[in-house]
Amino acid sequence: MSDSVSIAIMQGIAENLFVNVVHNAFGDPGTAALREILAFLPQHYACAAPDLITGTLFVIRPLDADGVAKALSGGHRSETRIDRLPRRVESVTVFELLDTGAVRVWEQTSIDLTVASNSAVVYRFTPGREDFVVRDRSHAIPNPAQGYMSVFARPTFSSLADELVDYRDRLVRTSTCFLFKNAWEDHNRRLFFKPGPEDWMRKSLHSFLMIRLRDAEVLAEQNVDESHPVDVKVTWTFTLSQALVEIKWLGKSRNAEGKLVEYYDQRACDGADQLADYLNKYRTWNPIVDARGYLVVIDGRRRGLSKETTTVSREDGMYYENREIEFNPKHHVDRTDFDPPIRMFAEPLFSSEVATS
Amino acid sequence: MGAETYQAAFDVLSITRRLEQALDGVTRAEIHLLAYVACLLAMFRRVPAAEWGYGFIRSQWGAPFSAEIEGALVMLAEGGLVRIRRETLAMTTAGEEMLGFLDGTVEHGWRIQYLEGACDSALAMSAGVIRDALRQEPGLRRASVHHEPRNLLGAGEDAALYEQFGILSSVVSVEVSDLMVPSVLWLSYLKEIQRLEIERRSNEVGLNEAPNQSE
Repeated sequence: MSDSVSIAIMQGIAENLFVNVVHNAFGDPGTAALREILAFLPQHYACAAPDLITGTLFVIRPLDADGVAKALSGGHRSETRIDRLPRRVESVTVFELLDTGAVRVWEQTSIDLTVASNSAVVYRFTPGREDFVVRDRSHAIPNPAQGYMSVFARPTFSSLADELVDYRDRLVRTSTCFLFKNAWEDHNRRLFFKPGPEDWMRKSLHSFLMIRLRDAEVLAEQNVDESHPVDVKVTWTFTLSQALVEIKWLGKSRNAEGKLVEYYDQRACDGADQLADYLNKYRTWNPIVDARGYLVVIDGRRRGLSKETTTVSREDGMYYENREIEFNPKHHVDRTDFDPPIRMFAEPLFSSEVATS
Repeated sequence: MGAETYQAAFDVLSITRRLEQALDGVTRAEIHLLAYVACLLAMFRRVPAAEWGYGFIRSQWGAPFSAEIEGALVMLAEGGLVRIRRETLAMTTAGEEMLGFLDGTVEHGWRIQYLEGACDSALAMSAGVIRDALRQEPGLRRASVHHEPRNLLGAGEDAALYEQFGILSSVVSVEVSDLMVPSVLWLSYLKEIQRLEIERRSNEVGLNEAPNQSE
């Protein structure tokens, strides 16, 4: 890559990266204020998950108290304990970080964003988007696992199995992950996958685990021997533990010509056999590593889906919701290095929802 | 015990104090990682790596690792200056007092700006993202082709890094007072060139095309 291209990339990032934008707008006082917000957010989200925000949350750190006073109206109170701040945000709530370390809470307030963003560093969260507003311009915060609610809701220490459950419930179930959404032919219906949806599924899971696992290296498409790549490999630092994660999908994919490819239970069983084989191969190549296999089955099956189907009833769409897969052989029982497969049912949008979406 | 361990001990205490509250404790791997970022930020300001006080290798886990940091962690835990809670580190009162004293000393005080820049980066982006971005850092990238651990930031091996810093300084001055600014920008740049490389490789091998599937 030439220097001029590299400089152009760097400049392109700098133009919108919130840290640079805040510094350019407000100088060192701005970055000091930004730092306070960045330290506050993970602590707040540890007490109040961002899922609870259905309205808009602003967190502001004033640079000019008079300006901020003009920007906000409504009732307010002060709170010194983070765990006592409001957890649910249904309309507009503003947390104003004060010099004293306390937080002034403005609930059901109105905010003049033009005035506020010229006299304070302003963070804003609405479901699906978080940004900093600087001098009336929005600068989105990059989120590598888009759909995971906030980049500032930091992980606690948890196991890979816990994280996979979280991934299933938060990102796959209703396809909230923006990367995962790309696996669907039409994410507003979620009936058919695109051809080759596993690429998007792998990218989605890789991004999620990368930000969730604190002491692990998470890499996509790593070879287990000379030629066989596993979808995601997790290597925990300071241990000899590794995880090989294989993803398989069930349901139907459809290409532009309407050609269908469909996979059912046998596909998951084949995936389990494949993963068991990978573990054997991997052990041959890496005898001192303690490798464990995780099979992730993305389940997009719908009952009665034909080429012509454009909508699905709740009954047909959810038919497979609780229909588990019978694995034979049961590698997760027969082997000690194989976790129970985790099936992640991805819901469709139903006829009534499609009409209003 | 050498001066290297004292510098490393200061860095462990400094990183732990800055992040323990926001991140609910700091992990061992995060401390190694952020000490490495701090060292790189010092190099951005033209402090030679040899003057950082201790070295790093690319570990078998792929991430930067310092034997001196590891030694300091053990020493600090045994001495009651940090405590280990649910696999993360937190400060003790004795640790706070020690750091309060060391912050004001000439031997350690000069490092604070770099440690602060590294820790602020971990507030702006998660440790996982930093770890992933650093895979494009020239030293770690060069070392990644070897299976065995390799020394990082050796003399004569930093030309590619300084090339990147040259590009960085064309956008943010080396003299910028707050190192969070160049640090987050540079890490974001590494992440972006990684994304572009993955995209290029995907296009080359046709990963974006539909795989062979039977009807």
